[in-house]
Amino acid sequence: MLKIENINVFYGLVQALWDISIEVPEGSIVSIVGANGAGKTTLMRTINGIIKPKSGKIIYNGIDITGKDSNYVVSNGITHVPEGRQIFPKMSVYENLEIGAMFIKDAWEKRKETMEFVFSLFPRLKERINQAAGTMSGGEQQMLAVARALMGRPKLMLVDEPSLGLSPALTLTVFDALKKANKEGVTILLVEQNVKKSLEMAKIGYVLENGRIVMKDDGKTLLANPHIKKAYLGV
Amino acid sequence: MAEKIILETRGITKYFGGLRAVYNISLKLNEKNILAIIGPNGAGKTTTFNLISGVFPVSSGNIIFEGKDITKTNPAERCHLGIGRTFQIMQPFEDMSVLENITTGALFGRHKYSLKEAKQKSLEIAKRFGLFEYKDFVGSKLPLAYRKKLEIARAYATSPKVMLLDEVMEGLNPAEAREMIETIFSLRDEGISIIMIDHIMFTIKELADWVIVMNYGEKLTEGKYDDVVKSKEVIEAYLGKEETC
Repeated sequence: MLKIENINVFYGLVQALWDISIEVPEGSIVSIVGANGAGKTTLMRTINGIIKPKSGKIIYNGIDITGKDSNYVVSNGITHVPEGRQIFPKMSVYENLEIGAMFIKDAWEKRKETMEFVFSLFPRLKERINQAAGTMSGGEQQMLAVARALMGRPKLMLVDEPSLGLSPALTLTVFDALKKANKEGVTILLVEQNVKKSLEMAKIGYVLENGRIVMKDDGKTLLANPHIKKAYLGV
Repeated sequence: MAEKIILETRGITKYFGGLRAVYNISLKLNEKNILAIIGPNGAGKTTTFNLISGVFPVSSGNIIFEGKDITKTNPAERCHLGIGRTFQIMQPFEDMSVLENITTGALFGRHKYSLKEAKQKSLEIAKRFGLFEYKDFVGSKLPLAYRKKLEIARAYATSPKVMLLDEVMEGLNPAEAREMIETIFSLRDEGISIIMIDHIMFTIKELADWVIVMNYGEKLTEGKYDDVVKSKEVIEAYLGKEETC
């Protein structure tokens, strides 16, 4: 479904991503693990068009989306849970959710139905429906960021640290929500510091170090790898 | 020997309009101890920090620091007395470099360093918290986990006696969280007393001398980590069926 071929990304003169190639098969969950500063968020932002790669290709369902603007990427069914929430603080929870559906025709038509679904996942958001999002707690804002991305009824969801700031119980809720979405056909590309959980549920895992892919395998195999245990699980 | 209490809250309560965010929270922080506050999202943990650091005035209750009632003081005064804090949703001075951010902490902290001293101090602090290679980055361009470190570095630069750490483990992988545990122990060993909010349970287990659990703005229970996590109410309200790392 998504094929990234040899992309190179720079910030000014500094190269952040080197020759990255990744494949995300339709219907799968693919996880990328790596230390902070390795380039995971840069990769997510390159796929959704916020950052343009200097070279390489990003092919989505056979279409070349390299260097396309984010609005084009979103309207083709790729939504994003950005790292660090990035909700609209002065708008209400309801408005934040509407925005998640606004730029995708099908999602906009079905927004009421989808909203019921996200409220069933996160009842707290329903309680706060008219509250300005910026006045909610950090964890509640994170729930909203995940819910907003689901509102777009994505085909592919780029999920950057969905469990950030969430309680242990809610972390499970979020992972369950991702699995549910995946069962309903949403393909997921996941970056998550909860390395254990994210590799357990991933069909394929990639390891990103210093801007380069250094390993690729199925999730469970990676989890058993001694290097992963030491570098990412601290075991 | 009885431990000395450095910071205490007595029944602090906060209403936002009709919403009761924090109700009747009493806690005691012993000198050179690490106290953890855990609880579901929206339980009032960060609001409690905001009351202790003076961001919001309390609706009722008292805050005692080193035996003095500081309830009526403002955040700057509390910082000068020696209460430093970090923010969960990071608040770097966005257009300033990492080094300038830390220097600002040193300039306006407890010791009121001169600019020259503050600059020198901030270089040492940047090294200590693993920020040296990022020292010239502007705050807003820093990767998320490094913004967390910057929060700690800037709070530390104010020479606090008490540090309030709001989810400094957030966004760290388990190996990085382990390093952060060492950093927090090193602060404690220097004589700083710490209150931390976090969800990464293995870090709480290792660090906390005492744990307070909040739910719906109130204290649900408190105790040693091992006892608290066995509590049925805590499992139901917070941990869920399975304890995650």
